Amino acid sequence: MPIAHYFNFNVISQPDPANRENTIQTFQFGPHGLFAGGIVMDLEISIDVETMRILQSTGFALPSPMIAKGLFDTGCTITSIDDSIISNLNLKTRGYVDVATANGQTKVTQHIIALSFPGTNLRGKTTHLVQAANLSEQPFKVLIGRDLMSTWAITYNGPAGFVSIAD
Amino acid sequence: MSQTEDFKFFEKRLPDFLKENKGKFVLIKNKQEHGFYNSAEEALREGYNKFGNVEFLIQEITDERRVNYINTAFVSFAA
Repeated sequence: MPIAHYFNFNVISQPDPANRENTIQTFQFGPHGLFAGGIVMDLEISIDVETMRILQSTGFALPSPMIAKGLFDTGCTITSIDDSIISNLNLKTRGYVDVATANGQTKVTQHIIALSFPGTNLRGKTTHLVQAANLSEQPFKVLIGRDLMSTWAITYNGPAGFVSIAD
Repeated sequence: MSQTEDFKFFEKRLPDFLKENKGKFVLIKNKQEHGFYNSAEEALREGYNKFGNVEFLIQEITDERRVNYINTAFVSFAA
């Protein structure tokens, strides 16, 4: 069964009893879906606010935001996006970083994007540093790393098949 | 001037940058530093103000040999 088969989920938003200014998003996958597919969410990826400002001031057309599936990956330090997103949004290289894998170390490019989370009340990121990855063989185009996870309180309930995120 | 040359410049100058600007972000273009900023966003804004919509680098100044890990099972790398 292709992993994408398990990427179906419902999202419920409710107030966070610990902090009324926040909300808790509950992603319901079902026990088997969560086990087989992992934690997956939709992301809207666009150019950052500073790039948007300069493109608008110079009369350039703004690239359309892209919707992509993102897989939570606790083994990934910095959130990684597929090369196709970098190409489609015409993102410039803004830095380099060493990346370690089981096959050794390599250097990848870094880019700045804006992120939002459609269908949820999670707060978007107007300027966020990410790194490039070739995810062309995967049904998801973003690996959500610990940089994003560190801004959330995440509860994983395997037996009940849901994940809750509070920000 | 390529960005890889700018990155080599950054790596060479990192020990000096660390002395007074540890934890900040440096803006680099044409093998020169163009200011130190408290966030990548601030450095990006200044990069656009100084150079316009062109290539420039923004690198974090840290003495950690930071290596980002990624799950190889997911990612393809060019040989």
